[in-house]
Amino acid sequence: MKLFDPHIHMTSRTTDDYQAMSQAGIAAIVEPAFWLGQPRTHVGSFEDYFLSLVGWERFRASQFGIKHFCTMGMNPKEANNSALADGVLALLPQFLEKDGVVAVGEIGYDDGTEAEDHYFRRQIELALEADLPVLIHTPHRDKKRGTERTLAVVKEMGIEPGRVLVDHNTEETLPLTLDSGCWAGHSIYPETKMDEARMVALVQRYGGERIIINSAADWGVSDPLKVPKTVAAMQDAGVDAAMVRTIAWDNPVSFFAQSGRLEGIEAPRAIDQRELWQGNSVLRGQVPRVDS
Amino acid sequence: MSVGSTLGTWASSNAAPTAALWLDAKLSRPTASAFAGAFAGARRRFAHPSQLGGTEAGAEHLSQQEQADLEALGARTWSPALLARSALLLAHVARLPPEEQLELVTSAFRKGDNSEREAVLKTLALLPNPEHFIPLATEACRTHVQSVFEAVACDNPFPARFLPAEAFNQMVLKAVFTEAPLGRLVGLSGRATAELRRMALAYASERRAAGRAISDDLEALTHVGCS
Repeated sequence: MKLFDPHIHMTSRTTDDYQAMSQAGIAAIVEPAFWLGQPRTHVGSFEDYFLSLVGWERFRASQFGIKHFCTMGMNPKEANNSALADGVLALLPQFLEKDGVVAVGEIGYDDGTEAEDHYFRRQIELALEADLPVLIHTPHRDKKRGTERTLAVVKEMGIEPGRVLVDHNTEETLPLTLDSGCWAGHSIYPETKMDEARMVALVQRYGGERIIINSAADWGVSDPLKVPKTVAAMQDAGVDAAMVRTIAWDNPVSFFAQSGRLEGIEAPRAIDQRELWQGNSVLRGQVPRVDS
Repeated sequence: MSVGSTLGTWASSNAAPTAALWLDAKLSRPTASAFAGAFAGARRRFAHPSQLGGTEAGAEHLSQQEQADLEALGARTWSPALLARSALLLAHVARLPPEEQLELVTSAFRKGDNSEREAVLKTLALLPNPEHFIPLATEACRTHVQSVFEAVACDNPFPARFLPAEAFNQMVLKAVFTEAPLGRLVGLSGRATAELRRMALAYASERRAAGRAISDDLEALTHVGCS
């Protein structure tokens, strides 16, 4: 079964991860624009990061047979620096025009400040202008209140809920998200936040409609194989095969295809690892894998 | 008709009518502010070629050099999207004074994704005042993205014609390292020097010492330019 991880920060992951993901059947990923673990201090840092998402990182993923898409946006963790945030928003229109940019994101609240609220709303406007769907990060602190505020803003701004993916849901926020008509993402972690067993329980309770799973793997303790592991947990629990496939492939495809930029998603991708500079490459003495 | 409008015609003759109309509008009224968006968005609009073959028409009106360059670049086999991007870049550069041309091309490269960068590199030899783009081409050779490297190194008359020896030699060596087919480097024998052969011999020696095989291309490079 082909798998899709629609929320994973590959900039922070090694090629060991790419290799394991490829072997586990992950064929497509979405890497949302986010922070790098500590606040950036120049608009240019964002610009170079955005360029790497559609440049080196996209190529790096392709070496392992994985189709790399991304979102572009001003994330909530860095939105409180207004001088910087204004500069980043000025960059976004040109980056939202790039191929493979499948949503505006990750946007939303972190602490729920006025500044975060301002840039959240402005970026929903940018998404409407660029005709792109939206990927929303819900806060990890005071999550239920943050999600309620988030859903209220979505409604106020007039964006179709079907074009909104509210991520990092829990037992308490999932029913709210589903009721709003938005898609519901779940980030499965090794120790904190949501895990496989609880995800299985949610699927058994709410079904598969508009349900999406991801690893949100990044710089911290996280696991880029959580999508295949959650798939295995669902299968072990007897979740219907069609529903598993819907959650792990069809749903993220349907959501992000609304961007019109998910080209080639269904075609199998040939890997040619000879496309590397062996003096300085992603291979270290391994036999290059070439798919004819 | 210029080389840019020739490429634009080839792009349009292989595209859906809406794409052709869009390109025509962008080419006839090129504005600086619209360039980045048009250049980025071109590929999606030309993603579905109707059929190849529209490039049989009209290159005879171009200069000998331009025709030879299009031949070396394999422009008749370019995708409609690549043709459209190249046409857009040429049209926008043509309307700028020389001192602003470098900035536009550099910006298109630096702010481009991989396929936009490839389009810029494949167009370099066709631009006015191409020698201004030597630093850009040299910078491009440093990329780790193989398709971008091959866009400057392979099927491209620019490096042999314009790159100074040190940069050209490094590019050739990297081509061999990365197994880009040596036969696709344009004008290699004309730029063969004792120094390039020395570098190739040194690399072959390094591989032999490591117990690694020496490719046919590397073997050939150690003799390049010798009759």
